[in-house]
Amino acid sequence: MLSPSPESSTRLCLWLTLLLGTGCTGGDGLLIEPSRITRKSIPSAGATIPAPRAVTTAPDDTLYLLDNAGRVLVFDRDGNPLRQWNMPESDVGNPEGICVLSDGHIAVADTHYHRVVVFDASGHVLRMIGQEGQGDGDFYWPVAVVEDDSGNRFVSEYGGANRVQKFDSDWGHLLTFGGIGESPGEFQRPSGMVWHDGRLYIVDAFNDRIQVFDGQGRFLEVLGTQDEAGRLHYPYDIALGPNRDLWVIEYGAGRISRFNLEGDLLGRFGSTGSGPRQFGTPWGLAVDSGRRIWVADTRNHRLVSVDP
Amino acid sequence: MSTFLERLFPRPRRPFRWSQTISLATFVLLYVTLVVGLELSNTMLFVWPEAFALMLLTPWVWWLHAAGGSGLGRIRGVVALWTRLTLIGLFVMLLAEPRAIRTSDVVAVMYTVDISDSVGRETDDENAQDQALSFVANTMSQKPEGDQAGLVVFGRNSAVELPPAESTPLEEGILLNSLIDRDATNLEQSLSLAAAMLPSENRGRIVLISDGTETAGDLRSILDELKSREIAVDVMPITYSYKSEVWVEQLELPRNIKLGETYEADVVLSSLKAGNGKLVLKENGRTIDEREIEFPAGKSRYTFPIRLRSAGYYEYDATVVVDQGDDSWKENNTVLNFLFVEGEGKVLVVTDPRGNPADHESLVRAIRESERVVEIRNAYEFPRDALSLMAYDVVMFVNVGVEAFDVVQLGAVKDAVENLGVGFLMVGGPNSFGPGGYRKTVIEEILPVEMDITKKKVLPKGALAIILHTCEFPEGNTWGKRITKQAIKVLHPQDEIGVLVYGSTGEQWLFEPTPAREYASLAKKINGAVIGDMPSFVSTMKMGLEGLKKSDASAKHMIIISDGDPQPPTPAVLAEFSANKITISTISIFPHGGREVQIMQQIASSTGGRYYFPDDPSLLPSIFIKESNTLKRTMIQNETLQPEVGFPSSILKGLQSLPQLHGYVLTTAKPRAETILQTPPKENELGEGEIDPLLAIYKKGLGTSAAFTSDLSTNWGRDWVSWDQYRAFVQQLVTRISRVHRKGHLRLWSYTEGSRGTVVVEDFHPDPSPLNLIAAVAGPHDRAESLTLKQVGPTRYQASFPLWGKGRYQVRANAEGDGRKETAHGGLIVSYSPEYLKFNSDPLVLQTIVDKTGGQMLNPSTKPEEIYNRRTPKSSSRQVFDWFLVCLACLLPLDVAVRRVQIDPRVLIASFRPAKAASTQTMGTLLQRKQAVDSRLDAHRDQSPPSHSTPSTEVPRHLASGSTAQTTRTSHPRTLQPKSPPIETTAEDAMSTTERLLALKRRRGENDEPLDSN
Repeated sequence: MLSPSPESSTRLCLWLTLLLGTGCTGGDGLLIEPSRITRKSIPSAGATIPAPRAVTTAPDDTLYLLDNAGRVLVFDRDGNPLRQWNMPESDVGNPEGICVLSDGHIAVADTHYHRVVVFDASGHVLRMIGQEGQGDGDFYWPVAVVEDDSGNRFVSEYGGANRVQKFDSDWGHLLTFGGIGESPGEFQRPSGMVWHDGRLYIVDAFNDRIQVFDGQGRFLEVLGTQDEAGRLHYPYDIALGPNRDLWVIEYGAGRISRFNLEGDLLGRFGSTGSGPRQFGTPWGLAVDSGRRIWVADTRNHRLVSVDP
Repeated sequence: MSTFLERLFPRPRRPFRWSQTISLATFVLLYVTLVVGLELSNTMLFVWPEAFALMLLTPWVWWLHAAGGSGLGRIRGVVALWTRLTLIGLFVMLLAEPRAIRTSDVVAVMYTVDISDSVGRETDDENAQDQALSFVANTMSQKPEGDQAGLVVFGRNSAVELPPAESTPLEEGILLNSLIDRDATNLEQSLSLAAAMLPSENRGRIVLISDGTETAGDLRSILDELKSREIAVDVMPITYSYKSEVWVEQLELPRNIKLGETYEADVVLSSLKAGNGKLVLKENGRTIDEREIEFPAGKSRYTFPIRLRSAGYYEYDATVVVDQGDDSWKENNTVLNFLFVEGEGKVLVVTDPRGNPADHESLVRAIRESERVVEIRNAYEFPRDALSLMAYDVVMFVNVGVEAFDVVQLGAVKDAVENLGVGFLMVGGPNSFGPGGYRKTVIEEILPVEMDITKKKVLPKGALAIILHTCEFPEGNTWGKRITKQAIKVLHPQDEIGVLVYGSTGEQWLFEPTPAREYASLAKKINGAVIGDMPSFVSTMKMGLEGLKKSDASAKHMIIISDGDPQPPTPAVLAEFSANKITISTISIFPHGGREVQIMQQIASSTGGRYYFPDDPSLLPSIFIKESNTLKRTMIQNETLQPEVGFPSSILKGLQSLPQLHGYVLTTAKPRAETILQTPPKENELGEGEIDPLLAIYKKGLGTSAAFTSDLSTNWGRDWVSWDQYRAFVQQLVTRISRVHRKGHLRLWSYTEGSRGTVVVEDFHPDPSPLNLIAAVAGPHDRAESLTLKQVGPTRYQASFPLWGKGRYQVRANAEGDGRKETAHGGLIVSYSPEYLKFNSDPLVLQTIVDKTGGQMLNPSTKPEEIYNRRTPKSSSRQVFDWFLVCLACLLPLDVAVRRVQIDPRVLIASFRPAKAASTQTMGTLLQRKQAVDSRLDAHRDQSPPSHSTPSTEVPRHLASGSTAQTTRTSHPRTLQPKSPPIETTAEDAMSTTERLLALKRRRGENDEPLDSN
């Protein structure tokens, strides 16, 4: 009648643990305990519920999101859908990076069309920059766009060149740096960028690190100590919080990691999975002015907000 | 009786006070409050409340305490009483089967979508199925946070596309992943499956999207179950009603025909209204007649003349062509039927569509010279049903690999051999037998040789690693799994294979390089694999590289199948592959653009592998088999040898001096096979002479199959082709394996009538006698039925059976009786699904579902809130037996400890006090004390008489509880303190413990004092 099920064994263990008055949580003190988490699907597209891929916030906390149905979706600060539009083309593949520029335009890294598409806030195409190639101003799989304080734009690419190109505010090519490899200054999928205080922070996804460059593309450092505790697993996107802290989403580990600007790990949240506090191969992350973190929880096909 | 009661309720040893009842009353009050409170607050329920009657024991336990039987002090006594009462209370609760109640406010919705043929067709430019799925996606995407949604699709059978979950990855092409038979609508099974998927702890709901035309199953049986489980079914009806519809009902062909005479084929046409169109009759795909017709509403019949000039299998199809506006469904406009005219059997030579004609030219010439009719077809043109093979006496596969066929075609060959008696021959070549991928196929089952040669050959081992990144194209992972399993079959059993995927925990080995002989366990892992979107080749390739490096195989190879968009490997990684002589072949499948193609090409070219860019996933199997073959060319023996005669056979009759062969494929003869030609013995590593079969033959079912492991072409068999007895050999071989034509007296025909098929057998024996006739019917979906035919006339036997869907049905009737044993063959074709005979949806059925289950009718504009916001929390319970057991386990030792363990607080306090003197002083004090006691004892012995004095009757009663009680009561000097030091007090001190106990027992007997129950 009494077969020792795993559940009952666990309970017995818990009981004994309580009786002995000891804990076995193994917490390292770096766990972020969110005050609120929301999870929701993005609007359906025909007979599908697409997966979100990239997400970013505007200064007014409006949320811009890319999905794998080739759409750009706009949400208010509470995640309610406002409007949406389609990419000019998406048969070959869907875009993977989005950035709200200082002039209010939206730049989308149209990855599989090897170009950057600039929209106005209503979704009208203003211009398309670049074509497939490895020359200056050409792209192979552009994956992220970021703007510095002077209005210059950086575009990172993976696949072939694994490089970053810098453009002026009129998308004139200025310089190129990086290349495929594991050495400092080289990349394996530079897939997310943040500009802050003259330093360009780039998540180098498959080298599991964050690299820092100056505005001229000079390698400055690999952020952090790279010790076991702060190790990243496929960091796919990075965002700067209002408290000048860096938030990183890890595709491989399914978690959010928080660092200070010196690279010290400050906290972590999440694991791989489909549960309420888990992420499945998340691609994108954004932080709004209220320090709310938005995560494109790609494999779980949902948009998650986390209030740390 | 009174004695028993007195023993049960002993007289109190100390004066009873009514205040002692307070403990019991308090406990009972608390206990009742707790139990009732748990029930009323919906925290817990007790399945067997009768068990609480056992609580009547508590007054007895209390009385034993109140009577002072335990002999404990007041406080400890109360603690002991409460502990025991609690113990009993818990135990009784345990017996009452407690279950914890959980209330959930989560709504779980299973969308159940009908994708049967009647729903999936195009109507008025809108596809009802797409509409339904858009509705599902729209409402699912807006479901409240925390609620769950899942998806079941159904036709004849049902399948879960998405189990109920909070996150709903409803992706494009999801319906393609289910193998649903769409030729029927089984509402019962679909609702049953959907209900089974709903978590019992949540409020469950089903959203059914269907036309309600139930053609299989019985809906009524499931509705009551749904109602009892409080699962409401909301229904979104798909409605249609067709006013214009034309369909071909039947194509009737003559039963008995003679060659050269003209017969009639009758086409029965039906229409909902009068109209006109064109009726076309085709014979074996070629139009033989067509005519303009005007048809009335209802049934009409049209007759076509047909004339057969030669024996064989003739398939006819009659099609009505009408204007689009006059017809709703095209699917029911064609009906097929067939005729089989028995005559001289033909030989069917099956070739590789991309093969070399020289492989079969010599063989075909030799057969034709033997005055046999030969038909040559490439594998793509090979029939897909056994009935079509009835016209052939022998089917030959000539150096054609398994990848050129599909499973249905191979199944037809097996069926034809086993059930129709058709002969089968596989002629060797680099694409035959094991290298052709036939290991573990149905063809291997019918061949007299098997491809597993591990028992006889020690061959150089190969290792293959496959990287599967197949999630980015429709049915990609299904393809990936299928081709990987095929690749394993191709490998030599000792070859190693490993598969890498990006799974739930990132890059991982689905299984590390494992011998291919473990196919069964590997296939299970492949079937259950979760294959995700691989972000980078780098880590996966590195894992594969390490795995292959560990292998001791002599040839190592990697295959990557991907759309090419993961991060490409660095030059260093590729260089390491080259350094370790590991080749990589890459397959681009549905790449996004040019860049992905370049990456995949680069990986292949830099490691010496091959690059493939198939435009259709159906080409993947042949690529995989070819790639796997790169490891195992060792199964092909390119050596010149002199064949030796093994088992004597008519095939070799009159042949002399067999020429040499210049190669063959290694196989192993099956135990029952006759090995007619074989290789000369070769000494293996164990010093044994090994013989390989060259020509083997055996009987399989009704047919005979043969394997010639060398070839009969200008390659390995070049000396045979030029041999003057080559034709004789081929002729005798074909004759030996050909189907045996027996002149029977039975004629079988079968036909369809609505949803039933009828089999009729006529006995034309000149002296007919009653027969026992059993018919085996094999039809679509790999289903077979057995029928017993009843005699309905002097020479006629008949049986009918329910049809199970569109497809071809083969019938084989075996007759026995009066010394006769005969077999007759036949078949019938169901040309279209019965779904296409439903011209109206059935809203009444759908309304019944809604009414019976308390659901509601939905429409395409229904808001998600209408589905999800009808919520009342649902309570469910689960067993908490183990929790109570844990509590009991903790209380039991406590109960014993309270009664039996005495902790002296002074000792405890003393143990925490600092030592007053050095240890040597303490020891000295103890020694002094020991000496003093010893000297006092010596003095006592000197003064005492040599014998013990009579035990005193003045022994205090408390000693009745024994020496233990004496030691445990030191904290109560009032009752326990002896009047003088123990050493000097009574004579009992000098007794042994046993003596003291015996004395005590005697006294008890004298006093008639009740025994202590505790």
